[in-house]
Amino acid sequence: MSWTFVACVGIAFVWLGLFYLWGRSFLTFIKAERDIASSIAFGYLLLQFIYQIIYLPFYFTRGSFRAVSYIWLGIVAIVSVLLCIFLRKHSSEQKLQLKPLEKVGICLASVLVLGLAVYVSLHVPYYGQDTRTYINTMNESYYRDALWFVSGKLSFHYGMCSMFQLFTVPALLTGIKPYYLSLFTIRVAGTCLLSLIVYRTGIIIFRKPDNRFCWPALILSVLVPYLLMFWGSMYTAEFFYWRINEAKGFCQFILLPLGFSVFLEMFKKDAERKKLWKEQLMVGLAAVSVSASSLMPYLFLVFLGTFALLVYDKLKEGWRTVGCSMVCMLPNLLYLAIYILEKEGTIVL
Amino acid sequence: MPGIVGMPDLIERYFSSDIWLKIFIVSVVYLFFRIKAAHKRALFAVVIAFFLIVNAFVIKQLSELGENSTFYRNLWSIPTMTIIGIAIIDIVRIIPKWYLKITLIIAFVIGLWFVNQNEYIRCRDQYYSSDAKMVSEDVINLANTLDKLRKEDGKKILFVVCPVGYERSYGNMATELKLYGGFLQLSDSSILNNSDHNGEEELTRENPDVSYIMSTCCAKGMDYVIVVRNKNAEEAFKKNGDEPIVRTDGFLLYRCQGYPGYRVDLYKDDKIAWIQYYDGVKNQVTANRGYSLVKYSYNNGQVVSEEYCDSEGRKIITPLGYTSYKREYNDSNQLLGETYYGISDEKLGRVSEIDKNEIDVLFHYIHCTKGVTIEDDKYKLSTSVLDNSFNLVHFQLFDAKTDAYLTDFGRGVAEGIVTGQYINEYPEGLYRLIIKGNTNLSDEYISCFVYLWKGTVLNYSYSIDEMDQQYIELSNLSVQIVEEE
Repeated sequence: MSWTFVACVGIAFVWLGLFYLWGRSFLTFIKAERDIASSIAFGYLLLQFIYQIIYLPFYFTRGSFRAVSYIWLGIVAIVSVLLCIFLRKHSSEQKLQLKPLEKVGICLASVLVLGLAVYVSLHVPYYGQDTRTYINTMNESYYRDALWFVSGKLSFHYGMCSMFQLFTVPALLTGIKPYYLSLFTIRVAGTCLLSLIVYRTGIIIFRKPDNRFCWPALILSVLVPYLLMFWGSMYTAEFFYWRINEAKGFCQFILLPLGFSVFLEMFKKDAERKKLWKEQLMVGLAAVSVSASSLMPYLFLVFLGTFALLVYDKLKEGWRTVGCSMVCMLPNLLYLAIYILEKEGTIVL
Repeated sequence: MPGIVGMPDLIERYFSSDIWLKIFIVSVVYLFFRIKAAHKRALFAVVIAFFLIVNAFVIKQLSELGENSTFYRNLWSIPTMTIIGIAIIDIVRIIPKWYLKITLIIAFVIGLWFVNQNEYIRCRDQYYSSDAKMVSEDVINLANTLDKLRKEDGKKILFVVCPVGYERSYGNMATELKLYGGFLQLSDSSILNNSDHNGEEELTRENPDVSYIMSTCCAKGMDYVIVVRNKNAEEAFKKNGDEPIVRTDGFLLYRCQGYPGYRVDLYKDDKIAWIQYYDGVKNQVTANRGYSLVKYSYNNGQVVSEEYCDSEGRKIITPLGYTSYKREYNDSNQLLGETYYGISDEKLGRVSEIDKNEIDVLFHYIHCTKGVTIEDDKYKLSTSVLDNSFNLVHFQLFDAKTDAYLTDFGRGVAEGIVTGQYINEYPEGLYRLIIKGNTNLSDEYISCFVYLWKGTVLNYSYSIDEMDQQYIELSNLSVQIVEEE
């Protein structure tokens, strides 16, 4: 293995660390449960969302990638220090005491997931049309300081997602080619995020009220990514091993499963619905910034979840449920409206 | 991706036709019996809501709106493999004996093995490089050298021509180079295409036309050219005094400079290049179409527009009748069409490369040279060429891109009406049709663009009202494509 690969894996872990810091702070702030998987997943969404807020005005004014990224870096650096202080004040007194076997299990699961991430990174050099477009987007950002243009024109369709610009930021700091960051860093981070979100789902399903270590969730977090390697479906499983470094892969295996798991938890913890709606709102706010492909599927997911909740509750507090789900849908509906208006030619960017 | 045509197609695409659809259904049925009543109700609700959106009727409606090609993404909202995984773990958990658990796991793995034995684990054969580099050594050498040269020259971007379509055992050299060396503006080999040359062939064949390659690349504003290495190619370049900057196993890298047509980059970044034409001894020259400055605009490594100017930078009308043209590409850099503009940026016409029915050229636009006056439907063509008496009128057909003369037809040698038909025998493409007196190329003329297929029939007619030695008066000029039934 080359040092470039090792450096890219290192960057992936720096990302995961940063996600953890921000996600844990977010969950602490909304007083939700703060397991490591949820922290990292929500941390990613929060950082992506902040990048998107800075990115969009620059995109519409044909601004500079470096300007967006340095502003984001400045904010993240300052706030991260404050978050460390914040978390020290709100550190949990009840820490899960792991038995030696459980520690071994966690280490083994980590090795297996990381091994799969390395396998996917090194064995799947896929150059589909989209892959080329995405890596070219990163190259455009890094080498030409330009945000995403298609054929010299701004296009909301292609420009509404800032995932690739976010993951190009390490190139500014390290000089590593965006090409490598796309192939290695995003794949390793994406595989780990997928595994963590499956772990979170496993905890929701399998964890008992005694709050003990949850072996089934740990096994599930390894089993699911590995099972995907056996499935030859062109538009689903293949998006994992071919395209986990693309926005579509992040949409299918990170964003939507996280939204799904939040709904799942709502069925298990009726009393914590308010916090869980806040988590769902975080997913909704970040959805399009992670992937423009989530524009409709996320709305569909919220529609399914809301429908199920209404029936589960026998319409008790139905308006509240509908209201919360509408708020979660609002960012995507706004993006969708702009997308349609641009497509029909009513507005020109 | 073509649109979904119905539920079976949607399911086929989403689940493929392999075993996982059946496993998913079994998992859902199993989990259904494992959950409590309130959750069963919710699950039913999800199924109903799901089919409210995902059904053949909605798919058909979306299909009519041209919006169903991404419909399958809605199915991502259900994490299929996670549900299968939950079912598997739950089954293993409730089996009481450890040896039964292990037997079940082994049976499941063996089942998977047999189901997927063509490719029991995905991508196992896709391992290309032991050092984690997914591009070839050739590409890395080329890109790293170019990166070094770019920094030495103090340039932000380098413009490079390479054999885009050149096949490799995996990937594509141009794609790899573009992805790995993001600072490069790679140009399609088609910039070397003309009626005598095929760019792709020139960059890959054993005996390349070196002088043509280098002078054209120079004239098109390229900094470097990459050709396929073979026994004779390097020798051919050497005969022209060119040494490669880098030799890789498969390719040779040359710098474009010093050829007739050599130009100086007056201004150049990744989006725009102003090119001034010079001859081999650095005298400023006017290119053969009457311009000496060209403004090239680039995007995604492609020339997206060319604007022609005189030596002072003023826009001019080329003999082809337009001042500039713009090219449109789709996201995969496939050329969609070209739109031509006049001196005031007025749109003259557009040629679609994709749908030939979209052709919008150019009979409404007629370009006349200076010695032509138009009054109502009458055209008066004078001659300013000494001892050049007018003695006939005729149409001439030129290749619009190379300006090469092809043929003439529709001659009239005396006053009166001339009518006839012309059947095109040249390949499909854009041509320039001019009408003029006699055969002196310096004469005044009227020209227009025509897009012709092989076999296209043109009906033409005109009236010679007056034929003098120094001028000709024409009226009722008409050229019509005969529509096929």
